[in-house]
Amino acid sequence: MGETSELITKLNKHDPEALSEAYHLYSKLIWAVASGILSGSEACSREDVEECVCDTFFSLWEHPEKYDSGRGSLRSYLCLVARSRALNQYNARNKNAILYLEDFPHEAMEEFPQPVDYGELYTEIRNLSEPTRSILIRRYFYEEKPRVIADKMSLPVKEVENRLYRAKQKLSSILSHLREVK
Amino acid sequence: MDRYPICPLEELSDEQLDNLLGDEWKATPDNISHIHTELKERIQRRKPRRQIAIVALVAVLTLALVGFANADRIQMLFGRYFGSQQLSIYANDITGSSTDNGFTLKAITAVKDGSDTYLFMDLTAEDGGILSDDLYIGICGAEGIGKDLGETVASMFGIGCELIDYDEQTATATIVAHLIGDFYSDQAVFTLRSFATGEKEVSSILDVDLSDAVDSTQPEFMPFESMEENSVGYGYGDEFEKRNMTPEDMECLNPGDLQLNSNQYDLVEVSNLGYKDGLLHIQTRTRTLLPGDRAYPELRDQKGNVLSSLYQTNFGFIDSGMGLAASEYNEYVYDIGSLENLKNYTFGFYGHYYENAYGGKWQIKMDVPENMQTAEYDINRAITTDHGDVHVQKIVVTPISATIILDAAIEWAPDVSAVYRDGTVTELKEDGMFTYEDGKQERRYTGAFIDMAKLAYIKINSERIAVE
Repeated sequence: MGETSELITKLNKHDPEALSEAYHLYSKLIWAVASGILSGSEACSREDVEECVCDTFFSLWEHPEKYDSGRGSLRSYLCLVARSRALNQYNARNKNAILYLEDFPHEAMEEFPQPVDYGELYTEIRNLSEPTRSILIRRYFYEEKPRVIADKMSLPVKEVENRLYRAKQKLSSILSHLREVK
Repeated sequence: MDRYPICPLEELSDEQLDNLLGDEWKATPDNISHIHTELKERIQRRKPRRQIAIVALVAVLTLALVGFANADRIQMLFGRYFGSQQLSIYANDITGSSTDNGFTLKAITAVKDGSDTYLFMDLTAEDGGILSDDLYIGICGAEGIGKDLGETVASMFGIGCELIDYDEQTATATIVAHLIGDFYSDQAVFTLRSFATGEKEVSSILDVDLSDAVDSTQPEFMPFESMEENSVGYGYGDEFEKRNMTPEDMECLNPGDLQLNSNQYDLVEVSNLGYKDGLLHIQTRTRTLLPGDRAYPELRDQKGNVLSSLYQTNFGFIDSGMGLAASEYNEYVYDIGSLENLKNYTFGFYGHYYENAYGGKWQIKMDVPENMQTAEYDINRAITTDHGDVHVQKIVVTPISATIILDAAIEWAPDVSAVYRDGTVTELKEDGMFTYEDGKQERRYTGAFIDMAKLAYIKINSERIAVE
């Protein structure tokens, strides 16, 4: 069925098969969104991620009308819901280290020449050594601020910023080159 | 309208997502399958059933009472709140409304399940009022009243209010008040005194060097005897006791007027500071009391760790005029090692508050609703659990609850589920518990529609008890 208006129409009619189809399409993505936030805390578990993923799709089932196709794709909407729920879950388990949506600004990718091929960027990041690899994933795929990354990885903020700066120079050059080759 | 932000993870393949998360956090096939099963079970619990033969006659009569015009909406609301639209056959016709301070509260319907009454209402902003989908209900109450609609017969034990729908176009919030207790009357009144919208996060550090501020004050302390005359109360934690300290040893600051606050959050300010006998005293003063204010003062070290206070006390009194009242002054006492260490700490307010708060008096007067269908079963049977034997005297089942009545109180919650003739099982969640003076205890379970026509057993932990 894919992400078509037909799927959205069926979700609005509370068709269980449509929900299963949406789940089949996006469950791994939503898991990744939730676990990216929750895995940063020792107080959170895989069960918390399961609950968050389930809550996200159940919310779609209960209130399909809240999705507005004029504002973007269903998967973007689900990612937004999952992120919000994961943050709530994270904050409930970590009352002394509250995270806010503002800690995840959608600005990190603007640091690269546009448009960015995320698949290629990930391939390049995967080849880097730790902790740079994890820092870059948190920055560019989970869009966490350097301060949040530093807290989660128990590193000084300055070190996180330095590693981001150095890696960004290198990655910008590689990504530009790849785009020219294409 | 803003577009949904694109999440970078959207652009990765499933394989890349697995790789990114690593073995520790990637989703296994078991995870994906387990969540899908849980999702389907949740939907099943919410899914309205097509027929309830046993109550069909009641349905016709009740729908006639409620009126067909409103029936669709009530079905939708019941589906959302109780998980079954068919429960709308138990809807009672409630018609009251009340307008004050630019808002109108209007009753939609109510259902009653023994000592639990659910009142559905619309709250609408008239000209210029601000409502939103983060509505917070502040102070409200309900009571049974005499025939002259003035004499209180009984007040509710507890009330929980929940927002279940919000219509932006009409600025109307639909709320459900869950009233717990008996009215002991044929008539009742629900009163709303305050609510708020516009939730704001607070993470506000005072832009003040506490060391300088302490040096500049010459605070006077009052001994415990004086505190007793003015104090509303005091509290302390384990550390206080471990140090063999007692409240009688404590002194607290006289009310001060330092007025140290922040631009972001100025409902509460630091009114006095002092350091005495190795302890830091911080006194706060509540300037404005609003419903839903959950921002709390915290002393944090350079790493952001919160230092717990050894001791707290409060005194004075502030009345918001919206049914809210609280202590005007609160004092927090900390052990920071030495006064020199104070430069390593910051003091601030953290949490949430609502920027639009409204007070008034909105009342819904109503006839006490009729009880929904109820079946009571004498059980008189002991069941064995890991915690020991539990004697179940009765089980009371309604379409929205199962209540187990025990001979003797227990301090743990048994697992309770509804088991149907076809073998399907619906888990229920404990909703409330009441222990009587003679030691008997009621434990109420809700969370799903109970199809009484098909119910075979109530399962308590691993034991099934027939209720056909």
